[in-house]
Amino acid sequence: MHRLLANRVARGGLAIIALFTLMAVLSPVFLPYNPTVDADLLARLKPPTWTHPFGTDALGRDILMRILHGARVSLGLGVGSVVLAALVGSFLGLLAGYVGHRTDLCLMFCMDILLAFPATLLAIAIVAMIGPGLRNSLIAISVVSIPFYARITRGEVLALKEREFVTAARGLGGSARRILLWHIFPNTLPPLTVQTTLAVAFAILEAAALGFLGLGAQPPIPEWGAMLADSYKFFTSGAWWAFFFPGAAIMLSVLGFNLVGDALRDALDPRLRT
Amino acid sequence: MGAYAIKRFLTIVPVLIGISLIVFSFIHLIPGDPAVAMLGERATPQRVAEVRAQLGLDHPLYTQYLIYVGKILRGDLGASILRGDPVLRDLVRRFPATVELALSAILIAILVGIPMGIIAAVWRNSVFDGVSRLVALTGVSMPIFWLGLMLAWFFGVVLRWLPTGFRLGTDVTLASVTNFYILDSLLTKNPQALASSLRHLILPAVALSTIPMAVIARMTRASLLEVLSQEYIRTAEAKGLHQGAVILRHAMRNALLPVMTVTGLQVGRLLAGAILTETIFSWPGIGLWIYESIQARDYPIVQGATLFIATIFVMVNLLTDVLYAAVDPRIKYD
Repeated sequence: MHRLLANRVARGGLAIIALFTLMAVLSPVFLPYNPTVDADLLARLKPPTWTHPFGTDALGRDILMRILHGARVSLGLGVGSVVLAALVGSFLGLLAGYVGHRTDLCLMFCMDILLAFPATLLAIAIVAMIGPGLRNSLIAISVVSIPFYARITRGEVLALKEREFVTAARGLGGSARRILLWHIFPNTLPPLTVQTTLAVAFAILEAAALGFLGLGAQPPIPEWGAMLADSYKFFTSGAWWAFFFPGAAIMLSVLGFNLVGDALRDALDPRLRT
Repeated sequence: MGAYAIKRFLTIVPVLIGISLIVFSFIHLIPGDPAVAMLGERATPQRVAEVRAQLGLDHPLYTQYLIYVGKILRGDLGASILRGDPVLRDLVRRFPATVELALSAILIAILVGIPMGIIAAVWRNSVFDGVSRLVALTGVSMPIFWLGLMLAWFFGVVLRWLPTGFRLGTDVTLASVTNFYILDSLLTKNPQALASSLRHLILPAVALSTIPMAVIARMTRASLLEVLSQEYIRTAEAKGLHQGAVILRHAMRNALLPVMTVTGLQVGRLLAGAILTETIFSWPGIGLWIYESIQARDYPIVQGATLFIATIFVMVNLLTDVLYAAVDPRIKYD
């Protein structure tokens, strides 16, 4: 952590993440917003002014307000899907690595099959089939992220289970579950932290892509990708603000997680420090 | 090398079976009756029964899978529910547009990414290195559909320099030979079509190239830095060779190997990324077709196109591995 904070790039990334987290947490408290009664057709596609600093969209809704409230949806989707993927993926990885033999072979084959698809395509296809919506996009993004966690955790478990402290715990009569949960699992966490930070960045992008294709959050929920989908048809009329700001919000938040993930990787793996 | 290629090829057989299983199960992920989901609530029972028969849904699950695989092996990827056209025929017709876009994007990514990575490695920790790192990280953080929109708006609407959609101007005619418009323009000696197709290609290709460009630049930098710290480079420098020769003739040969691998991986990803770019630029390839089919709930197309792209993805990765083994004799299959 100390090494991480000493890194200027990481501090920038952490500041961006903090800003978006505050937006997500505080907006509903201080700026109550009801997306169903927000339309003002007389103020359609107005450029930025003091009353609407980011302008208005095709239904006359204030874009800044929707971006602030969209933070909760977009970040929630990103973080939520990663938490789900990390839980399922690391459990499968622990199981495969520790039990070995056929379980390992079977599980890793399934993971390899999932990895054989381009992730974005698989997520799109899954949601296209199970139906659009926030919950379904969360499931789809999780499914495509699970193999990364399973692979990393399995690799770590294979290395760790030969180590002396694990042999000692086994020698002292520790049960398999106890050894896995108390001795092996905590040691798999450092590489998983890097993966998790980068995975949140990937998940926010995927969520935005699904939203953009009309497969994620459904109207009138303010979600950044869906906001872009609502406004992109107006780019020929020059209403740049309607798509510039939601896209900038996606890019900045993803950049924040990527900056921290990159710095974390450098901090945890001294070989990469160049 | 030959033995490695054959062994590596055999490993993709189970992977392809696994892919076919997942794509087959797609239709069963649809909540409720897939035939009703495709046709809508107002479809006649007779039409529902027809579609159920067309999809083979009235057989037991394992028979359905065997029929599905049998059809795939015969080159039958099903038919569109709305139009009845065979999916494979339309895939083959639209594939050149997507390949043309993806290859142009990867070309731009290589031409910009590799020099950027080399400069960043040679002047490591300089301002250029810092800026290139930030540019690369921004590149991978940017939603490509957003970048595409910005480019289309700025160069197409504000400056009016470039077209923002389709593959060819409406005032240009081109006789279709291969459906690769640039190639067709050259084959039919049609300079007007060549200029028009190139102009239409620029914006979507640049938008699609950002992520691979960033990945290639970072990989080139990391890989070159690793090679530059090796003894044989010091020997080359000690011989009195100037820096350019050391980097380009001695270091780059080895440093480019990992770059080649990530480039191969990116080609496959571009095919999937094209769904978003093609939607923005109304580019009539497989991506736009998938998007339209999702909107129309034409599931056999989504299923067929997913299987097709995933198979190409696996094949490109295989080809990259085999090429890697061809240029690096140390690689063996174990």
